[in-house]
Amino acid sequence: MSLLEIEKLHVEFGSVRAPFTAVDDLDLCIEPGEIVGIVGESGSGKSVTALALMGLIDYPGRVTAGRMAFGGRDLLGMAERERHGMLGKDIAMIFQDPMTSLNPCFTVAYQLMETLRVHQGGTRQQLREQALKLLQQVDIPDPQHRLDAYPHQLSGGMSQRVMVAMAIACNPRLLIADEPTTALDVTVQAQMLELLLQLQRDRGMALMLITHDLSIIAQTAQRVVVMYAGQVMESGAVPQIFEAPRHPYTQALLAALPECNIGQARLKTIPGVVPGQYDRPGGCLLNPRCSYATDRCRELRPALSGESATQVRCHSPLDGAGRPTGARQEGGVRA
Amino acid sequence: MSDSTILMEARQLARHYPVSQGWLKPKATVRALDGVSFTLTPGKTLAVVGESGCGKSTLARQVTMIEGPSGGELWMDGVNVAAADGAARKRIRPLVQMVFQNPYASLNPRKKVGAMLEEPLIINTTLGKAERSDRARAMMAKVGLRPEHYARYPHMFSGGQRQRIAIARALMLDPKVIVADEPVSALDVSIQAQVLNLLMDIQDAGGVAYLFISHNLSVVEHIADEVLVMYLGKTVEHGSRQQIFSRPLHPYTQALLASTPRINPALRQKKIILHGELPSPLAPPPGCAFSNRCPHAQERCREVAPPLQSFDDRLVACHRVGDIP
Repeated sequence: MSLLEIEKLHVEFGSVRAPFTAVDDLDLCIEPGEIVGIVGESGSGKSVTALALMGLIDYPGRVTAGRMAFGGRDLLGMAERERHGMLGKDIAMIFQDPMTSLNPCFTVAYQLMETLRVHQGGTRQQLREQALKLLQQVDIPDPQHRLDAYPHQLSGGMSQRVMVAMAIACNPRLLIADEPTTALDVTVQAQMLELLLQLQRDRGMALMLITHDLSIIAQTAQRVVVMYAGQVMESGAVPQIFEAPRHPYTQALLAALPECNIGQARLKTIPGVVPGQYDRPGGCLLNPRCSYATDRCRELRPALSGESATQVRCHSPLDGAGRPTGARQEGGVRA
Repeated sequence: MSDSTILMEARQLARHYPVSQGWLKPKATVRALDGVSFTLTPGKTLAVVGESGCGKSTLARQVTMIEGPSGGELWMDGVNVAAADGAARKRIRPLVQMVFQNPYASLNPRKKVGAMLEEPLIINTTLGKAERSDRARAMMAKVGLRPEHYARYPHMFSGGQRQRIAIARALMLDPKVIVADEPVSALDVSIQAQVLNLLMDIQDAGGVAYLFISHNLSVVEHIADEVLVMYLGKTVEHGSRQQIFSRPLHPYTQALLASTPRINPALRQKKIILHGELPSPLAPPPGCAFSNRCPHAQERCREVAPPLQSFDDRLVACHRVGDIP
């Protein structure tokens, strides 16, 4: 049984009459101990997916799903109280900007002990000892001294380590890391990724890594989900998807990396930007930016096809050589 | 300035800041920039690479004359800016322009694009209203903005378009040098490629020199001609792009390159994970500033600071250069 099962997740914002669909028909499964990367440009719905999973979407946002289960328990059907008990304990999350996600008014020890107190309880002394152990596990130098530090006394890398310590405090089975290294330097980023991978291995927890940096995914994840404008465009195992992407969007994202243009004067680009609330095109959402778009793409929105392990949402997915196949796919939805 | 092809030359440029340690305690000095030398030539890009806190942005502040250096010389257009009077500085300033990191913060939300682009002209030239408007529109076309964007506010644009506006604004006075401080780090991969292409097109057309500050080495590898690696206010390695990327000599450069994530497994290197972070610039370690994180450090490194010396056609500041692979 999968650790996390999401079927047909929809997240909408705005009025009921003219809603803006931030996440559209998303299916996602995560096995225990698996590292899944979610990648896409800003505005493609990566973070909203994670927030919906954590139950952090407030009114007027609306979350609906065919099924959303964690460890076999239905997240949507359970009582609010029960769900709160799971969040931060079984599912924990690390946010993008470490400097703003810690409370500046409280010490590191207080914030770490708060998580432990809520979910397991214990005496002050026990909690403090546990907090110290957590800081040691995330390789913070001089942890005894850091316990009484305030967030402004810590560097960015150090704050992010404290965030990780808080997230792993209750031995979560799934850790969601939303752009965990975007605000950090390359050297600190490498330390951070190493730490996350080591914790993932030691504790056997699943890791959902959200990032816009394809190269981080290529180095760490086992499976990747490529999102665009709220929809899954392609999902598959990691070496394959980077060697032979089947969706034109994945191919274009890879081609835009400076690393893939070494020795060339100009970088390949994807013209335009991710469509927002008012300029979502008809047909395939990518069609105005896709170099292979045909009339069919402009009229008919493609459905996700393929088995659960490797899926692609395209009328004519690319073949091994990176050219679109002429084969017609069944199951398109008229937009 | 002997060579006429040199646009700007920095010699041992330094900026030290006094910091208060507390009441009745003596003031300490932060050596944010400590003796950095380089030259900029037309149509070439010098990339400055390093972690946060290594003095990259302080360098940008000196070069753009936002602040005066506290030591060293900065030659531009036959004038040593560090020692020049106000009139000479005023003449030089329009020649150096800057593009900032975050296009969401660097554009005034209350000004229309047209007004923003015309402001440098109002201050620095005597052009009339119609001419200013013409120039602004011509510049907008050059950076890929549409004519109707002239009367729009920054909030109506996406990140990539905003960075185009910022670039257009920097180009309005026809500068010789553009300082770009992490111009693409706030942008998505696809938009990053568009902006980098635009920067390169502008350079090909106008021969402007870039001082390109970045911590993203794959971007630097694409755009730079020369690379200067900084650590705690000092140059640790300075050479051409080919040299630095094909065979980095300083252990810090090696670690930076090894930390950069790669898609292609063939380009991935054995990880050199640096422990710890940049030491406090208030109390830098004695000897080599990198010695407390360096995997190859010896006794000598902890005692004597290595000089920047020429080795294999580049400049390296390491005692063990040549010893380590």
